[in-house]
Amino acid sequence: MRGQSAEDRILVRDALDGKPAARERLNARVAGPVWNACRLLAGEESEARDAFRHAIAGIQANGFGRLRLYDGSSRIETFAGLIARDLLADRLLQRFNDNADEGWSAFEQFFQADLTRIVARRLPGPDREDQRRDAYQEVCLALIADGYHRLRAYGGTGSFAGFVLHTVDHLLIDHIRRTSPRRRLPAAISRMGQLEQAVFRAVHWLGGTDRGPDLAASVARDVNPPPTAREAEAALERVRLVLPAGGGMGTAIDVPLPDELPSEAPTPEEVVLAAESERVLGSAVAALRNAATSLTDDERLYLRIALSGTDPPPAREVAKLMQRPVEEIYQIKRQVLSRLRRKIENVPDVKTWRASV
Amino acid sequence: MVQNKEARPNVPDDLHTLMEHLLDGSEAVGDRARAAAVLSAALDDGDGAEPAELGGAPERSVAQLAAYLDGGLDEDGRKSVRAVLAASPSVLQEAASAAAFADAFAARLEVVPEDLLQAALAPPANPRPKREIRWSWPVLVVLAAAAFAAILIVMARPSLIPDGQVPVARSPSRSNAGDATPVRAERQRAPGPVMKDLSAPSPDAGPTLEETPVPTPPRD
Repeated sequence: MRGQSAEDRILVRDALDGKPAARERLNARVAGPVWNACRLLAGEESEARDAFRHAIAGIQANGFGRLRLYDGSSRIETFAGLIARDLLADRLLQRFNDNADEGWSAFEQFFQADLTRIVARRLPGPDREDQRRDAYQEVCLALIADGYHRLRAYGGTGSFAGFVLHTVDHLLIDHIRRTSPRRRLPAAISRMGQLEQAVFRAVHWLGGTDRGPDLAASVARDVNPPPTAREAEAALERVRLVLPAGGGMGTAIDVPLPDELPSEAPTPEEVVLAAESERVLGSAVAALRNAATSLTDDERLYLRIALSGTDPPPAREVAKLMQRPVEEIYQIKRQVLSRLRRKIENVPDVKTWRASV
Repeated sequence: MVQNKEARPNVPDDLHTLMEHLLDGSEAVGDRARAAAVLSAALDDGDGAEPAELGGAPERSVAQLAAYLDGGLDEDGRKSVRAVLAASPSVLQEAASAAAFADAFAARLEVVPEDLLQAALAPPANPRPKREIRWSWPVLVVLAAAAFAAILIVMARPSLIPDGQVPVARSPSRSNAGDATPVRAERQRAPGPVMKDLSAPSPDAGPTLEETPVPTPPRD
């Protein structure tokens, strides 16, 4: 690459100096990658042709001014392709500002590959085809909603593409949070009143106290009007009556309630396990936040990449994005886990657990 | 999530197992998608003001990203890019997208349509880039000195225009040369020193400045 890049660098310098022959050669050199970039981003050939004219004009503008920063440290193909992508993103933004509805189809075409990639990373596997389709639609609808207000929030800082893709990822995370299987109330509880359900969640899911005044305070936001301490205690008693013995937090239940079969409602054991999982996840969030400040840049970047999908990407992919050898990626993973293990000890749940054993 | 079948959970082990399984992709995490999503969002939430882009400017950002992805940066350069990627989820998204994009178009071997190629090869219509004027202090000093000298010269010479006279355009219909400005009209008629002649009207010079009506702007 070095030899060719050095030649390309000289070619770019000559073109910037206005040498006609160099300009012609440079045009010929970048036309291929620019065309391929346009085909990828603009879809239909007619659109791609239009995009090509725009991108080439942008590259040639001001005596190839956009190439002035080319210093031979990348291939000219990569450089020209990314410049073309940048120019087309600017044009897309302009079209979007002029007429958002007309700009939307071009927008979707431009980001389609990225949207598909991000959705596939978060919802992988052949059994999730329907979920991916739903998630894609949901994200697009969220971008369109309220007159494209999420896209209009772009303030010009940073790249438009980066802004869009970050927004898309967060919309997708929200979608996953909303639609993933959640803890469901046992059927017996779901048939009870608002107060009983709130008391069940407070005590059995969140591990809250069963003392009247505290219990009443903890469910006050969920129940209207807020219960008194006596009412909360009475509700808890009614909850206990319908739950099987041993149905509290952290205890496996083997016998489901007879009246819940063949209901789709989760068994009490599933409820308990789900509650535990939720609690572990909450603690993991606390540990991660605790650890994040002490991570090195590389560890933090590794963690970001690893958590950008449901399944961690292959080490070679992480290595490429981190520009480090594959074997170092495994080493970084071990460092991150070791650091997290130490930080986990400071999580309140872990401290409570340690005190109780 | 972690499928802990034991009667009493071991919180630190569960936590560590969760992180381990998430990072190496092994089994035993029930709803991995949710766990990864929640933790990923938590990592973003913990960030402060994130750097907007690589290199601090869009053009520089593209150049740096291209060099990074092609392995053309030295270790310091790579480190600084990784620091930005670690701190900014949007720049990381941009980099991941650019990496996938670069792979995709490098693998694509479509030939540019001939008519587009010919159009691209035609020399661009725009001229060489204008040299940017750098308004550094030496330039400003020289310009100020030149302006001051010009003012001194003008003040030292006798007035070219009588007091109270405004140099207005001569009526085109009354100008022999059809030139609207009195100076250029005089220059065409008399080869002598134009400035001097302006103060002493010649017999064939048409109306004097005093006689010239002030044209009113056309009303729409």
